[in-house]
Amino acid sequence: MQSATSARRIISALLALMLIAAVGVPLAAAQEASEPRTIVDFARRQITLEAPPQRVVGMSASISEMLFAIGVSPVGVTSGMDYPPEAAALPDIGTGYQPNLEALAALEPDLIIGNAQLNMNILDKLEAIAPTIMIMTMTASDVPQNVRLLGQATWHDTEAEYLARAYDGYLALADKIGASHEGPSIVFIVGTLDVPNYGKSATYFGDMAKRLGAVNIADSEADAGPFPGYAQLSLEAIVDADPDFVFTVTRGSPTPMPETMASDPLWSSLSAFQNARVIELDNRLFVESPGPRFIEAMAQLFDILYGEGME
Amino acid sequence: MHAEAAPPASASHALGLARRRLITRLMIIALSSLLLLGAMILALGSGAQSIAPDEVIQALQDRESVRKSVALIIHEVRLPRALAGALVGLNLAVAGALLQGVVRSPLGDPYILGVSAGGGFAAAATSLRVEGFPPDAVPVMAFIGALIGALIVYAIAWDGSGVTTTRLALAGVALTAMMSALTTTVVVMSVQGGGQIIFQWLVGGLYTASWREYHLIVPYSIAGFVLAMLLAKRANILALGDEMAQGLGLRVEWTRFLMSAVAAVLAGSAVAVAGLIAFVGLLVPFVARRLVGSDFRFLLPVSALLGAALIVSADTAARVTFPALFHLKNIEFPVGIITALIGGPLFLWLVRARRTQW
Repeated sequence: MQSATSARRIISALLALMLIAAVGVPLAAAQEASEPRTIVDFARRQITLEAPPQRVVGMSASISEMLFAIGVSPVGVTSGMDYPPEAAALPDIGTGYQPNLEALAALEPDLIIGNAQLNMNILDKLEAIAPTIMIMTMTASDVPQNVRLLGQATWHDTEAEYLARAYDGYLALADKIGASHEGPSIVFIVGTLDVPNYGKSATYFGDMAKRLGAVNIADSEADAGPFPGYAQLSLEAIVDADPDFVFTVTRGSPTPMPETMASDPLWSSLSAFQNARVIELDNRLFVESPGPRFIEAMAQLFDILYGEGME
Repeated sequence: MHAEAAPPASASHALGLARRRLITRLMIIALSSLLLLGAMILALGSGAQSIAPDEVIQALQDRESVRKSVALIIHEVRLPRALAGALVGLNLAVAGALLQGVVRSPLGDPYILGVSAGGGFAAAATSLRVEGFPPDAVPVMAFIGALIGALIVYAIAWDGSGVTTTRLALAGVALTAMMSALTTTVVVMSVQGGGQIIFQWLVGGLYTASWREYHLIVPYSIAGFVLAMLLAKRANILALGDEMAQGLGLRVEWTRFLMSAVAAVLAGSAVAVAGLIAFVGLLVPFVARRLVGSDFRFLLPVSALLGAALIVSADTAARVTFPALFHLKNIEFPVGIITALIGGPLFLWLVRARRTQW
């Protein structure tokens, strides 16, 4: 009787120990995985995250594309986002310029990735909704760096590191290609012919074109107008330079600039126009959404710049 | 018998009239408070996300008792915005009432007089162009800019005995145009953020108003309103005309300066938080004057309450009604558009009717 009870006690104790080991060891591992992390963002703010975020929102298409790339599905996206395709079905939080804070709050995010270019003025409102990390993606070379930062903030470090290395390698390769090519001269216009902004090599598109060896005729001008990296050029200077390629991204008019140019004696006299080298580009891919698709954008651009010569 | 009984009878009659008048005025203050309360309830109950009224009340009573998203929307989005709107409305309306007393014209509105534009320029210039300028000091700069704006317009419009409506409106328009041009210049020079900031400064909106900005307006609202009430009796004497006021021992020009300074404090902090919101200082005192008469002791509190109610409801319209009219989702309009649409016609009518007296 006595010994049976003690044997049962020993078995019970062993079982309990096994149970503690079975539950406790993975628990300890999980605890390690969810150890708080401190992220330093673009605005040099320190943000401490207690656990891997489950409901992330990116405040621009650029940010959301980077999130998708590292395997994080945001719970909502900015208006009009259509890449990757599943993004179009996600809840809409308004434009990147003026997000709808109610729509954002309704998603109950636990991490907000803000766009430092547009959202600094509502940072405290975003912070009131969820911890907010501000990032800035101006050119392709910012992409690997920001992908690493997002990986750190979402506990997706491994995916992010692999991608970032691939991006770094691609950029290094593109630079070598650019250096070995006699690049054409280009002009790059965003807006309309009436209200044009001439993008320099400091813009997302301008930087990609420069890496591929193109020479931007606006580069000697100082920044002018409301957007950083853009200059104003006189028509005379453009006619004088007569660039090999004219790239346009029409915003603020339903008629694409190449069509408008056809009825303009000056623009249509440019050799780029006569050689059918006036090309309207996709706004998202080349201007608005600097992100993982810079690879696709640069491949397209390489074909446009050098395609003929390679035939 | 009759001759003896008459005087006490008419005195008590007058006393009864005065009492009735006081009761009417207090009733109007109470009704204005109710109006503000109604506007706040409407503002908290409407937005891009639909939340049932009982859930709104539950969220206000106990934040933890509702869904997280509801708590966030009510406490972090709608409530701060409604409170900021109420304070901005209070400031602009009381500033308008004071300035109308200073210039003795219904056109004494901080927006028309260039006070807001002066404050807006000073705020934009210091916050955007001076590296490391403490944000807390922006309302102070706005106050100085607003005061300078007021003094310039006042000096131009003053012809020695008073101001004419036309001169006042013209001087204000010119100064506002100049100041707005300078503000736009400053904003364009500081490219970051581009168009949106211009919009915020020049049209006036509450989109960026938040808890953190409360210290930029709350102390100024309280101090401004208390000072305005302390000046109410003197403002009443000033309203009798300069000669009469001087005869009663009032330092006329000093009083005018004090009233302008308090108006600049109020308008300056409103501009620092919400940019240039048009015509609130025109519209609200105009209505308040018709409700409670020209006694500043009542005119000021009624203006404060109605101003708060106006901005809170106009902002609800700008957030909810306007976008719905145009079938826009997740887009909102700045509140300044609504006040300009309401106040503009009144301004035109006042100018056309040449109403130099109020």
